[in-house]
Amino acid sequence: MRSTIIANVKIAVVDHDALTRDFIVNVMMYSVNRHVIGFENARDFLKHLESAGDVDLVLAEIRLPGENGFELLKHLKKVKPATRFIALSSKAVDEDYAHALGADAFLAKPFLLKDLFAIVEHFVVEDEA
Amino acid sequence: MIRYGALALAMGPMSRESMFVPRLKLLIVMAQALEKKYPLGRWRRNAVIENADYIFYETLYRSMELRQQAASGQERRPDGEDRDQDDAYVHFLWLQRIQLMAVMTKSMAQGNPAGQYRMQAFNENLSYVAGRLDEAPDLSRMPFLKVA
Repeated sequence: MRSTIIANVKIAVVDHDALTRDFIVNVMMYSVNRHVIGFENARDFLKHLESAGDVDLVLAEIRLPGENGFELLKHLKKVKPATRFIALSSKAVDEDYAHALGADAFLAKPFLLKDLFAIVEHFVVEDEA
Repeated sequence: MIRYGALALAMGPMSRESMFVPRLKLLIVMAQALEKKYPLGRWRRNAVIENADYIFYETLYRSMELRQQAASGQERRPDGEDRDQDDAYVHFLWLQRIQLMAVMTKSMAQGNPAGQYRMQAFNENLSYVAGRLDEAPDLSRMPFLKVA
């Protein structure tokens, strides 16, 4: 069985913490060999979405300044239900609500490199028979 | 909903310290993939160069900190215990080796020529750096890297 990456996969990372955002962008860009964009806040991401069209996978911090990750998740599930949403947080209390809102995955900080690779394997790679 | 990352009791913010080892492991994966001639591509190349630069400057900073500590007689391990001179020197050398690995990996990603002896040095250095980690990354678990 051969692995392939979803054709023209579009991934976005939304986190106000530059260290974390840049790391995830770097890992995703390397893993899928596609341009991956990072955003500091939900507003900039949604503005980009208006012009860029669909995004396949979003990794977003819950505790964003301004519109937070929960609001972003609710909004995306309503307008772009096909987009997979990975909620990031350093607070255990956020997990249940993320689950209730329909997040596809929860990435608890601090995370390891293998967690990001596991996300790629699950959400971006397809197996060809 | 799938769960990844820290256990609930261990959750907390990411820090520069907690980022170093994952970034280093990523560089090791990148170096191994380059050595095995996995497909590169434009974005992958950019990611390698960016990560190599990050690790290079981070280890440079850590080396300078270590030297300052040595100069002031305060050689301490990250856990606060005093570090004896040999241990400090070994750690310092490891940081230099990581810097070297960053330079070598970036050079390969940029397509610079790598002859037999350069590759030998590259592999030897890579083994040294990876060998000192608790859990070295396993390239065979990332088959998606074989696809561009």
